Amino acid sequence: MLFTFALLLLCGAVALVIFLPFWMVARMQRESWNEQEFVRLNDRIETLAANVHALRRRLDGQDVPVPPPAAAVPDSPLPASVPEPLSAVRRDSPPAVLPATPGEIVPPAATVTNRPGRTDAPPPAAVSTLPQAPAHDAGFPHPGRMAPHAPATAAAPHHSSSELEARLGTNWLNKLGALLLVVGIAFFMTYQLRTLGPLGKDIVGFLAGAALLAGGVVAERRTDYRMFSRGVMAAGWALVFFTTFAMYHVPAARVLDSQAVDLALMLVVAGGMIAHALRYRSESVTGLAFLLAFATVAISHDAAFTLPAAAILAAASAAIAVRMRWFGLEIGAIAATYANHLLWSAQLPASPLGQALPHFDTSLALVLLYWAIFRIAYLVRRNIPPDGERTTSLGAVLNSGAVILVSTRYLANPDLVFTLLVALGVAEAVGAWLVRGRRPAFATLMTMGVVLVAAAFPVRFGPRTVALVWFLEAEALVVIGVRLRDGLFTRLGVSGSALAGVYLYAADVVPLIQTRTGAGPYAADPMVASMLAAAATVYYFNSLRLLRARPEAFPQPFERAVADKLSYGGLLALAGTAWALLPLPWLAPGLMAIGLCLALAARRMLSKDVWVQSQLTAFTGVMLLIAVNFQDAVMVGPLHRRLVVVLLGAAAQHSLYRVSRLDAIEESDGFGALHAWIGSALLAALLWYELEPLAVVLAWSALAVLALEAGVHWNRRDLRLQAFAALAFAFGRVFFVNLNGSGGLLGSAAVSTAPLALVLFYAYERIADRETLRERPWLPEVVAAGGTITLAAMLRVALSPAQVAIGWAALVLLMAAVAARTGRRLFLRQAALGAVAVVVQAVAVNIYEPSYFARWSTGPWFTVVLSALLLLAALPFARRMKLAPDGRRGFAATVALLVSRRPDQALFFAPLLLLVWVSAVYAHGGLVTMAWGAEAVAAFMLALWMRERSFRLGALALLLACVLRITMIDVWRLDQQGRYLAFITLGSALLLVSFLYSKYRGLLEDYL
Amino acid sequence: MRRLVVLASLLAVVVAAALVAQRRPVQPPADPAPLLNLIGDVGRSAAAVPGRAARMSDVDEIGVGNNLARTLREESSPLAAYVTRVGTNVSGGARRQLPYAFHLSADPKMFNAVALPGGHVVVGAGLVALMTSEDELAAVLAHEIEHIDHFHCIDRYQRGTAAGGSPAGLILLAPLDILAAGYAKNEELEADAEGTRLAAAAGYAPLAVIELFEAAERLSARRPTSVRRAGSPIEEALDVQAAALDGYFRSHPPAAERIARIRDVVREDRLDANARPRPLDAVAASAAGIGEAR
Repeated sequence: MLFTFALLLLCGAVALVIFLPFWMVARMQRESWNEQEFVRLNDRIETLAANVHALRRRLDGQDVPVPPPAAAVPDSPLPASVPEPLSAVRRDSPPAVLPATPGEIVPPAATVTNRPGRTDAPPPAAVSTLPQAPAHDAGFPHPGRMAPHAPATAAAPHHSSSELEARLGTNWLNKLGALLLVVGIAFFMTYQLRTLGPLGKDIVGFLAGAALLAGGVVAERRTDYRMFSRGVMAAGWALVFFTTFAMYHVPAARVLDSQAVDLALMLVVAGGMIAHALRYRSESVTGLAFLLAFATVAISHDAAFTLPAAAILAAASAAIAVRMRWFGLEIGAIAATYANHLLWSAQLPASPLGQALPHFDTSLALVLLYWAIFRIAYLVRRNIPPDGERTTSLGAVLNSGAVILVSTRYLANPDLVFTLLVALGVAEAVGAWLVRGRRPAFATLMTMGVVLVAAAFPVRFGPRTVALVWFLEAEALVVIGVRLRDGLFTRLGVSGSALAGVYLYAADVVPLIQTRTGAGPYAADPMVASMLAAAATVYYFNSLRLLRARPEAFPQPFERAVADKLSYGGLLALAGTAWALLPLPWLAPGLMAIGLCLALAARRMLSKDVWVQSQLTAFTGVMLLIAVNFQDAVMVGPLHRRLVVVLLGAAAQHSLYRVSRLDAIEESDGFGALHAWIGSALLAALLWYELEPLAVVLAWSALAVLALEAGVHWNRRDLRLQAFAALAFAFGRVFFVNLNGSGGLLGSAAVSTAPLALVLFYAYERIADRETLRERPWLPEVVAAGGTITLAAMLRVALSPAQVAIGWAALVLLMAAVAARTGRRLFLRQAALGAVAVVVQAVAVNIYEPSYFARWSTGPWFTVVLSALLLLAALPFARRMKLAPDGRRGFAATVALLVSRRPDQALFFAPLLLLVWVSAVYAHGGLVTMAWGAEAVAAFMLALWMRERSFRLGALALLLACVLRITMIDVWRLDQQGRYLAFITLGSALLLVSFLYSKYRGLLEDYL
Repeated sequence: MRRLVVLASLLAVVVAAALVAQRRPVQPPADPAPLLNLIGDVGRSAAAVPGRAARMSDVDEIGVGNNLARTLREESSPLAAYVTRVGTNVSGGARRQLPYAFHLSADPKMFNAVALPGGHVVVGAGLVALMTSEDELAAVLAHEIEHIDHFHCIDRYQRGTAAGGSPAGLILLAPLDILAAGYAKNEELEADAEGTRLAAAAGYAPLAVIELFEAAERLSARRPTSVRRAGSPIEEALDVQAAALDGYFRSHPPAAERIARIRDVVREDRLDANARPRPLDAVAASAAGIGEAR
């Protein structure tokens, strides 16, 4: 027992040595700051007063120089000379009026303007609210003998390291010395005084204690030794207390047989010690006395004595703390009271789970009594400075925390724990309401009440519903806060809902994630979904509804910002609801539906945050759709589930186009168009998955037509561009897939490609004359060229190599006819270029690389002549649309002229060239010259009919070539028969041409 | 109203075509063949006139071919004689009357046949071992003869010598690789078509070579007519890219495409599609172990 006592004393001493210097330093620094602030404010007051005085003199027509501000003398805490008017003003000033709340500031101007023209107006109210006492306990009353000495530091502008040294030397070293002296004397009594009996030892102890006490009392009368004397007195009382303790508990000093008597004596000593300490109003001495008193109780095992004594000590310490405003003492008393109870309960035998411990009722009643004592003490105090309020609030928190710690240790009954927590919570809330004038106390108690009630819920409700209850409690607080216009409640509610969300995630969502990502089934969890939905409702309601309707419920900017962003928590909860409720294949459309709803809400509420959330949700849905649904080939009835889901997703994206666009959000237009693009891309990808490779191009073509029509109808540029993009992809795909199909005009390549060409031409027709496309004049040309190229490529695959030239020539004829029919010169240009392509193809394949096994229908004569005739058939259409030359010169200009303005030239000379070429390669001997002559005559007659000089010149050039050939080649190489046949034919041709020239001379001159 | 009618008609045509395409039993693969064929067509057309003007004479071509054929080791087996006999029979219908010579490479791993300028044709023993009928051998030889007959070999030789074999020449020709690929494929398809006609003219079954194509495809574990559908549009694009970089640059087009082309020729030229292939010469076949490779 002695050892326990000594150990307790030693621990206390060590704690004092270690922690109190730090506390002292911190306190001194704070005091130093307070004093400097006082000096600064004092200087300002005097400066302001001097200014007021000068103004007043000026108003009275006097001119008195303004004294220099006191701030000019920084080393002096007070001004060297205080002007009389200042004193007068201060004397006339009304008594100090504290602001209603610590943060409240009374505007000085208001006071001045309320009394216009008053020359004897008091100084501004702000001046009057300044602290009047410069002491380190400013605002505290300093009754009794301590009062004259307390402001000793007020005169000093600042503390120096020498002050700290003085404090350590005079105060703490003396306390430490006293403590060690007591311990030493105790050991001395126990072990060294072997010649004395127990009574002698006790007498020595009492005498030593009395001597120390007497010395302390005497020394305390002198100011210089006041601090020292308190340590000595404390040592005396401690020694007396120990001796009393030793009278029963220390065998070497035992003179009593009854522990109860000894304990009663110890209490008497402790009471006297406390009474004596109170005389000096020293918190430290009184605290030491209470420490010894609690130690007395702690070492006793007698419940009948221990527990009531502890209650009495608790009540006494609380009363003294209230009376003297010794809040540090209060905290120590709370800690000691509950620690004592904990020590007592630790000695009780353990009980089986679910059964109450022995003395349970007594213990619980006492714990609640302790709590009530300290809580009442906390409630009844008034006029507490801010520092003290913080300290005593800490004690209030410690009081409730200690109750929970001590009670729950041996409360095995959940119902009782629940009841206890709720009761304490309600009591704290009621207490808070009672002291609502003390804002810090109100906030402390109300917060604890809320926390205690919240802590009770997990005891009563299961882990899967507790989050729901917490959300309800949090929302109730928010509503209360709004109704009362008190930010504390809304702050508590918002914080509580956030914490409940975190708990919901950790306790319910994470296990569900683990189940779904593990081997577990991907099943819906309506319970988690409902809780997440509740969370989303709470978050969105607070963020969007309450914040907008009652902004005053969120007084601080930070609170408003948090409440504003709380909607993102709502988004997470909402998305989580969909995730918990929907099967994975349906999650993407679910998210998109949420995005759509949020976009509608953003539109209605003009909230950018909600708009951002709608975009996030919608894009997440798209990502999920791509990752999950496109590979999903499960059938739902006659359809793939993929078809249904992706269609829903695409519809949602297209709906988001219009819904997402808000005038208030600059970038929303771009995002709206992006949604439309995504919707169309989803549709295109869906068609790729659902259709066979050959049909994909056609489906994309149909999609493009619909998009184009919609874009034209609604004047939506993005839809038109989507249509062109779809056409571009379809066009490209043809060259990688469809043209790999089987040949023949009814083969898969032709059947699956030709409609694309029709769609391209249709698209050209729809956009060719639209003014909105004027900034892209090349687009219609490109689209139409795509159609023509598609047809040409299709013919290249569908027809045999020998027939390709014929097919292309027919296409040229078709282009020319269309140009003539529609008046669009574009097709005529394409026809001219097509004629060149026919020549190249026919020469390369039909003339130079024919099949050695070709029949007449695939041989060079038939194919080339037919191609030439088809080209010539297009000539009248081209003649009808020819244009005069534009006057430009140069090679490029000439080519442009031939293609663009005079396509008839290509359509005349291309077939003529083909006929001449095939005759040259495949005619034998003199037949070449005869064929060329016949062709020249035919060309000349055609030129006459068409009245085109270039054609006539071409025909004449061909005749000239015949003459050259017959004279250079045929005369020398041909046999006799061939030679005369050639001559006869060429001569006839020349005569015929000459006749025609003569007959139509006048006409020709007109056109020359 | 008129525009709506046009629009409805257009959509009806597109949808009808899509339905027809959707019901096609055989879907084409996704590869760059059509595009490269078109590019090859352009290249061949552009080179037709100048190539013909610069082409060397038959005498010079025969000299070049003989020089190249000197490195070949002559086989005197019954199978080599059998190859010569069938080749001579087929080459009688060729347009260019060159001194055709047929060689057998004894390498059992050579599953190919090669034509040299001037009339030399080399067929690998590995390829012959895949055959089950004389008509297949005739088709292969006819294919190679048509490469010679249509000047493919000498043109290729002249293009190679025009580059000079120098690094600079090769570098200058490098950008034309894609063009050359399309060019080579056109030549192969042309040789298939003309070879089929040549073999048919010599009395062989025109569709017999299809058996050989399918056997070769089985050997390389590829399916001749069915096409693997890509798993996604991106995978399809990657397939196309891979085909352009790798598969397409093989010496011959895919078997499916060649088979389709031969069937087209048979249909267009009204050749006897039901002609029965004649069996291989028994002595030669047993000496070479023909058919065992299947």
